[in-house]
Amino acid sequence: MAVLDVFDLTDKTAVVTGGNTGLGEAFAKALAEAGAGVALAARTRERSEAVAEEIQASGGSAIAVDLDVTDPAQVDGMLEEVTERLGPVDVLVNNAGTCYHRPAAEVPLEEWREVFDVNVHGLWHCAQAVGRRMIQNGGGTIINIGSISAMIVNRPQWQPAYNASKAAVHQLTKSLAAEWAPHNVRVNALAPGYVKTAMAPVDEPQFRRHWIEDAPMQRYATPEELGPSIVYLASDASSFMTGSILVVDGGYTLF
Amino acid sequence: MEEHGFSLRDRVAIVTGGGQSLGLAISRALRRAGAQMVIAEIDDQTGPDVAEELEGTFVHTDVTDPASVRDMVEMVLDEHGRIDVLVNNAGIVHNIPSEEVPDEEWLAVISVNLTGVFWCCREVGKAMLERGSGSIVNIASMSGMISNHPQPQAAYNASKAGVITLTKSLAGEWASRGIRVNSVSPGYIRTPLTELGMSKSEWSEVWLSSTPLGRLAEPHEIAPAVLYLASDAASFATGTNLVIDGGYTAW
Repeated sequence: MAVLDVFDLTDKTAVVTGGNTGLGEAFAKALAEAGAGVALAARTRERSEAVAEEIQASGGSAIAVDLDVTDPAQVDGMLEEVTERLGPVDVLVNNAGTCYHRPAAEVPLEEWREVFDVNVHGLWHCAQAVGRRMIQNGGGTIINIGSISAMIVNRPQWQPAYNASKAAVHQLTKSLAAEWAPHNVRVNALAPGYVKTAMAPVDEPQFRRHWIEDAPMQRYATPEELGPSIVYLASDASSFMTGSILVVDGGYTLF
Repeated sequence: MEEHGFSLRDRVAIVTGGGQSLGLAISRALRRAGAQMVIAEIDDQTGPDVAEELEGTFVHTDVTDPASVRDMVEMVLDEHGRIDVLVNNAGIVHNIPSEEVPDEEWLAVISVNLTGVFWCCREVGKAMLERGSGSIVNIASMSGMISNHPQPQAAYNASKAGVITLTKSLAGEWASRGIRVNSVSPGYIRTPLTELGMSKSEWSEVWLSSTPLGRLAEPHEIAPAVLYLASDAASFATGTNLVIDGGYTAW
């Protein structure tokens, strides 16, 4: 990637939760390509190590760290391990997330709770723990992965918990941004539209009418396509940007 | 990754009002990313010098005059054969209480800030549609979303709201035809447009205390957002309004 100085992340340390698959993997690779040392903080260690090896093979720097974001003790442990192995955390990408398709009237309590546990509470644990440390260290950048689902209601599948959880992510983004601006910690959210990952079966015919045809660009994105957006938000290129939601959705929400 | 990168090598980019302050910072950033620059400026003093600095072209342009815009586009196509990026940056502001705004002042602000953006999008859009590719970045403002205070600027605010929705409209029309259209909505930037306000403590104190980052942006802090949207780095972004305001609209 042709990167101007202001987009460069050389000597920076980045953490990507859920960084071993889907969007998280693409974010981790993009940050590494821009020069950052990246910690893939996720469950399924073998997968994290495989991605770390791919990054290293391309000349980048990456480590695998075990993390279940719903466990605050693991979040604290992750922070200590990353700080020790790579250095103070400069960039946090809160990417770990989960989604279920089910009509609201049929959603079991455990499923509702799980979605909020990962998407909101897990994000909160990481933001609070890392944010505190960033304040002590003099600054940092946090990028929360939100969604167009925070702004509109997707169809034809019903996903009430996911949509509400992402709306919480967007508002939490603004809250943290406002509080931590004086401490040189910037907080923004990326709100993707439909991206081809395991979470979104974008090639299935029953989704074509609303997922693809309702998007002005008439297509979905690949995870790699969103990588540079994270580099922009993580770097000094966005030094005056905080509390913002960056929507990258092929135009889905403009209709 | 290169095809999703921030490079604008071999691409032809037009920046309206590209000879001064924010437009100048944008032009410099696009040039550093490798673009062939066209400075479309009404100011014959600054335009040519900047074009020379950036090894580009200066074209005297009045964005409020559709004939002037058409001539500019024709000249660029004659010289370069293509237009890949258009940045609609030219804009003006006045701070007059609304009950006192003269007719011509209202019309002038709308004419430059909104109508001028449309004339440029229409004429450049035609060329981009013919090639089936292009990226347009409109400089809007947080004023398109909220009403600034304590200073009055109703025409400016309304014009910028217009730019945001015009952006989405064009994006919607042209998304399946290879053209992306996005807007950047900055907060307070250190430019001639904010010079008056910064010299009045009753304005500047409100501006700064309403901005979580507690300061104005420098023009070079806004330019990378324009580069990001103009380049393949934002290949899946269209109709988006990138707010870069130091947290102003979070409060």
